[in-house]
Amino acid sequence: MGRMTRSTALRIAAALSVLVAIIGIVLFDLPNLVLGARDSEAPFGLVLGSFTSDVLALVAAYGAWRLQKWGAVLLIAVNAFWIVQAVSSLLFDRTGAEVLFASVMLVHHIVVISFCLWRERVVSAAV
Amino acid sequence: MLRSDAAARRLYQLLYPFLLIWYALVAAGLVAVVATWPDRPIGSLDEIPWWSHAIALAVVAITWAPVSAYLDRGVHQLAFGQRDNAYEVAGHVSRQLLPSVAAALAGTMALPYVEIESDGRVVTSYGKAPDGAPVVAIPLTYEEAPDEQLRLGTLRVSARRRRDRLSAADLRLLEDLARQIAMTMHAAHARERLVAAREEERLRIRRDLHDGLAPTLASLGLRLGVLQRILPSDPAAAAELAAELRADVRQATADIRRLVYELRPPMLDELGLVDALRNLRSGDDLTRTVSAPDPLPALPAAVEVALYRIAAEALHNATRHAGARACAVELVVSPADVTLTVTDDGKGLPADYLAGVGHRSMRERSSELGGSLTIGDAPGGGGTRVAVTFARGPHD
Repeated sequence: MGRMTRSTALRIAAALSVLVAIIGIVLFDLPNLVLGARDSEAPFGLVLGSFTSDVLALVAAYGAWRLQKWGAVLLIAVNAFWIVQAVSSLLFDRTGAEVLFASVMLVHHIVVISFCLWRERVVSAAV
Repeated sequence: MLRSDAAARRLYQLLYPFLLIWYALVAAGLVAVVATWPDRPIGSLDEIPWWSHAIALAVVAITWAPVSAYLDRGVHQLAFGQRDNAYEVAGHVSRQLLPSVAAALAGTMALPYVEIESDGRVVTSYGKAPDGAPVVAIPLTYEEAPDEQLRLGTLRVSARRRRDRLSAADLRLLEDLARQIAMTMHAAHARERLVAAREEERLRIRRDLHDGLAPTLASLGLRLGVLQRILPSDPAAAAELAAELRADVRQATADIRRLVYELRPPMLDELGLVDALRNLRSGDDLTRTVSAPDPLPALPAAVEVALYRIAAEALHNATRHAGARACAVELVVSPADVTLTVTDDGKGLPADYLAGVGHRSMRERSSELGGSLTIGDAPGGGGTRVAVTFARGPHD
């Protein structure tokens, strides 16, 4: 396993998730929530689900930053959900920008989950 | 702790299968993305060709072993790594006595095998190391004084599974816990030494009473009976016997005083520690200065006795071995500790100095109460300096 410590890996995962959650809230959730269920550009259920997952990601990131087990577990769950979203986007979205964004997000979510499951390299073990 | 252990097991049992299923679904999705790329975007999942699922199945089957192993190790570490509550683990372990420490450690860190060894023998062990699992040995050391590590034993733990080493975080936590175990072992050893010393003291007192005073008093009783019988008929013999009896009573009284003195020097109660130090007999005309705070703060009785005995031994050594003519006894008391320093102007410690009975006795008295003793050359060259420090408070 890597030289990076587990606490560093968890904090990087938390920071990456906060970044993505804020981008999602600012660029997608809030504009559609402001428009309301009738005028929302995306299905409103999807907007609510996205907003909920973004808020959960922020809470999880707080826990992971504090090196709490529940934070890492919640971060895994949220990113697992986001990966499904990203794959769906790759399958169903039309524009190149959307596909590019979904690809970047896919890599991001896999990296975050990997960091949440990070195991440190064994530095010494006398038998 | 048991509840958190059960929660960790439940987390492992839920998260690991979830991630496996999730991996299979994501792999299927990614293969579908590649398979439908020329026709993208698709309108519904029905447009994904059947062979995409077949390829996905093959990909998952091929990658199953490494991915499931990776997820298994990661989730296992996440569930059982215990780094979130290291202090809870440490507190839990420190509350256990040695025989149950191994079981507690194994339970809290999900370790299959834990062994504590001391003085070359296994004190306690728990569980069985899985075949092929590496065993890590962590020294159990206690820091008696700065730069003075005391090796008390070895903590051995096995990895959780075959060919699966403990992580660096696990090792760090185990090293922290090893320090706590060493402290527990050191405290247990100190307690054993104190109990042994107390038992030896009781035996000595019993021996002195049984072999010395008891026969003397019994003999006195018998001879008083003889005295009573011969007094009317032979007053001269009775007077001689009475004189013998008087000498024996004096001897018995001296024995009792010696016994009492050895339990606690009466001067400490009669004069207090400082004046008792001033009145210590060193055996000759050694000039002595005693400096101490006035008034001297109250000290625990055991500390007073230890200071008095160590000062007495130091003065004795100064006279008998060092040929000293002057000696300075200094008592310094701070809120945290009390320090006694005895400095003489004798010939100092020889180059090939080896601790004798007196020095060992001083060291034992010091360590019995958790104090620290240093014996070395006096500052400024020539002479010997004996310094002992005891913490204040815990001996009350």
